[in-house]
Amino acid sequence: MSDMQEDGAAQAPVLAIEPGTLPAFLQETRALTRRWYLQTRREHTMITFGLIQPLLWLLLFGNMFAGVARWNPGAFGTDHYLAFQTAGVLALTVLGNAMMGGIPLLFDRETGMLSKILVTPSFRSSLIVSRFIFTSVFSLAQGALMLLVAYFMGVTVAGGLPGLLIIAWIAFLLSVGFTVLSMMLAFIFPGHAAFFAVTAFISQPMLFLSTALMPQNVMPGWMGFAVWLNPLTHAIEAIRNAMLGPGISGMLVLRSSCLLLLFDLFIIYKASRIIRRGLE
Amino acid sequence: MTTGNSVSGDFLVASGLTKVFDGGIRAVDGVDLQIRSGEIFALLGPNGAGKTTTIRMIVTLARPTSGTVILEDIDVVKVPDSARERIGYVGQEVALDRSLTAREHLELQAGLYHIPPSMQAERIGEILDLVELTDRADDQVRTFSGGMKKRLDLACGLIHRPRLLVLDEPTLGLDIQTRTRIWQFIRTLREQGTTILLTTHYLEEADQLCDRIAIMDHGKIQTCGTPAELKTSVGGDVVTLTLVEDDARPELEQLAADLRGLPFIRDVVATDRMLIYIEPGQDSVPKVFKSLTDRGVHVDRFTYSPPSLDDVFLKFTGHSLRD
Repeated sequence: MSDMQEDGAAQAPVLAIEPGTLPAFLQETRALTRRWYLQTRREHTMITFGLIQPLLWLLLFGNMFAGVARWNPGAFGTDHYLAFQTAGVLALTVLGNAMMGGIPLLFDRETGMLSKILVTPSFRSSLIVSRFIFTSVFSLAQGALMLLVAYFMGVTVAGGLPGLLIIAWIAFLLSVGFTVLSMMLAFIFPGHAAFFAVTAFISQPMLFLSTALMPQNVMPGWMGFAVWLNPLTHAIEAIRNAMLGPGISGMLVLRSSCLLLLFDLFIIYKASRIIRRGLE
Repeated sequence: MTTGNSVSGDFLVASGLTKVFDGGIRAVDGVDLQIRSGEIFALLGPNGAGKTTTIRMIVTLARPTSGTVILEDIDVVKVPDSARERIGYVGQEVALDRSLTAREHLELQAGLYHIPPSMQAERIGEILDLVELTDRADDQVRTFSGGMKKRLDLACGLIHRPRLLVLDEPTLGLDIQTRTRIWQFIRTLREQGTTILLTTHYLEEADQLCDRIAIMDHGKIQTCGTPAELKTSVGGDVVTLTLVEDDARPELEQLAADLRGLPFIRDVVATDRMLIYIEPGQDSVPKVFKSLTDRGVHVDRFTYSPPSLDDVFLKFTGHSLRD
């Protein structure tokens, strides 16, 4: 060991950045985000299947239903079902990633890693923020890949660059609410079995009670209200408008943004006490 | 460079520390502790005694229902972040991320303890040397043996050079070799000036490793002192006898009651063997033998020893820790 110990100064704490300051917060968040990145990079199976699954939606489901848009192009706004469905699959992928956002916290709770993090003089919020950053960047990369695949299948983004920015913005708003929801569930349930059962249970009706696969005007009337309540629908509508046009509807983007923001604030309000208790 | 101790010489003082869980269970009930700078202090007790809950309150993982914890000049409950900078904590179960390497674990800890990036490489190198994991620094934890994982887990709690290291059952479930190694490691840290608080339910660990021990049972501290002080408090030395099976021999219970009346005997416990606590002094042992012979009792085997920590435990809690 160094000479420092021998002259009795072993107890001098390592000169540290002042906790509770912005530089400290950035350092913690960076260290944690790096951990999520390293962890995911080494889970090859998770990455592979996570990337393949949305592509299966496009390739299999998209082609299976290719005919329906040609029968009724008025309802779909296009005669190219794949172009219609891409917006839905994009939103669905963002939702899926966000719903997995709490999983590492769930396992950290079970292994004791969470305690290890909580005894450090770090902001509790850096843990939450690091999950947001990681989940958002992961979704963004996955979305870009999907748009690329869709492009080779003849689907282009009609809105051009502004359209792409709108897609990223809406995806971000969708991601925030469901990442917080996932983290809240990670602290509510005692173990991971219950967590996975409930998130799977939530995801399915979310998909079918949205306009991801079918436009609302071909659905039975009674579904209408549930579809309208579903935040996924509003994300899909704005993304679809950016993809199919004709022209970007500022009203639609504004409406979707406001409703998604409202949803996010509601979830954050509901979750903050539960998450804060879990991180005490 | 040291912050200096408070006037009393106490490094950490817990007063009236109490934790009542939602169900109304008093896991910790009015615990008072005074830990001195530079010592190895053990909370000794059976599972469920409240040891883990006590240290979870000290390391800021649990909020006391009532009571205070003062670390040097810091109120741990009121200013947890200042306390966290000075405390290192290693839990009972090894808590690691299988997919990260040893170095990446320490880099994560370094980030959470705000060690400037320019100093991290050097500090992490030192710690890896200390726990002898330098060779395996860049291997993922999934390839590590149990002992290596435990050492890395300890390293994670040391990255910021804590003044107080808190270890919950540091050698639980480890093989003898690894246990000896961890003990050696803890002693090295103490020599470097770190104060250590640990929990254990191993008598040998408390006896051989620790400077002072608090015996804990049912959420309360039953007694506290150095191993030697505690043993002295039992009173005298112990003669353990196995008696020859003989029909003429009196019943053990009655013999015990009879012997208790003698002036040089402090106490007698009769189980399958007979434990006689005697007044210290050279002639006590021969007197014991003479009184046994007088009563027609023949001794098969006997040992004469100072009291063990288990005797202490038995005296203060009414049950043996070995049960």
